[in-house]
Amino acid sequence: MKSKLCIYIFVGLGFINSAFAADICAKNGKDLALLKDSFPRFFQSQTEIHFARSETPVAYLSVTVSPDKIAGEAKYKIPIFGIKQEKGYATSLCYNKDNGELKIELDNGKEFKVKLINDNPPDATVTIKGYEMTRKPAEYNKAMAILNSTSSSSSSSSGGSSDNNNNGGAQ
Amino acid sequence: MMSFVVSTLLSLSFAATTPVQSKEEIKFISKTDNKLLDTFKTDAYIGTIGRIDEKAHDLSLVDLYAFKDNGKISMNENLCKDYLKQVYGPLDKITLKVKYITVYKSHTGNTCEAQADDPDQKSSIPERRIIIGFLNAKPYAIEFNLAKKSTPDVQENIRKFWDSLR
Repeated sequence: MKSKLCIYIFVGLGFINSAFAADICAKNGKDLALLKDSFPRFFQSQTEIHFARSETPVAYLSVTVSPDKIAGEAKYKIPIFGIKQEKGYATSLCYNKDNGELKIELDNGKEFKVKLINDNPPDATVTIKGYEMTRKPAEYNKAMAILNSTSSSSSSSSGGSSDNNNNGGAQ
Repeated sequence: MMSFVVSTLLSLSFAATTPVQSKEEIKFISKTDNKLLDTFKTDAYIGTIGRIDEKAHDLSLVDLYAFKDNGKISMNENLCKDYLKQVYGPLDKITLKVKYITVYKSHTGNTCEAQADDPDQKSSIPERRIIIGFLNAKPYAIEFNLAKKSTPDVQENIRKFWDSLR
């Protein structure tokens, strides 16, 4: 009887543990500040987090956190046409520490996943749709040089100037 | 002779992947060509059109959306709102402010035009302009992401591009 009870308790604890291992979600900057220890380190001391890749497809992604909103922005290099910009607002940002997956749900209903590869400052690296994006200073600066040089010839270049000073590594 | 055959085949294959045609010279970049392109977009987004001869960068890139055919071929405000929801999400809950939804007559019949403003004063895309209508009896939308608030000239340019589509 006692051993059965032990098994039930053991199994029960397992369920509780797996329930706690589920996604931790933040709807805005206030939530994120409260839950920051449960999120990747690059979220802990910054309100704007940048990632970039210098190989094709060259891209830049940033997440801006304010007390009441989380917004994502992207720049892509498109052959012939230069830089394409995107922006979206998130309704939630969820992180699963076990599988290293960040789930960003946008207010248009779209959801995209960011897989954490390396959370060590200043080399944090993630993948989005299988493409590696990084905060590694050398790679990051290379990507930003490509994107800024392409966008400087266009009339809509904006928002990139502070990125070069960021060096991708401040945590 | 051989190169002619190859170039003809290549241009035919390119045309086959371009969902809409234009009187302007355009190139189409499918979301399958660059998988990052649709990261922030809803499923209705199919790719981006590049307008070769357009000098203004804002107006040279056009996002293209294709909607599921629901059998309706006449645009009205309610139908337009349904399609806008498929592009921007539920209009009363999203951060962008969708306004000035108007239905006007274009070369393809009743066509809808709307504006989506970003309330963030520092936004890199303060305004999006969208035209939704039917091309070859199928519902499509073209969307321009503007780095500055539109002027009447910009709005006219956008309508002219819609008029060029076939």
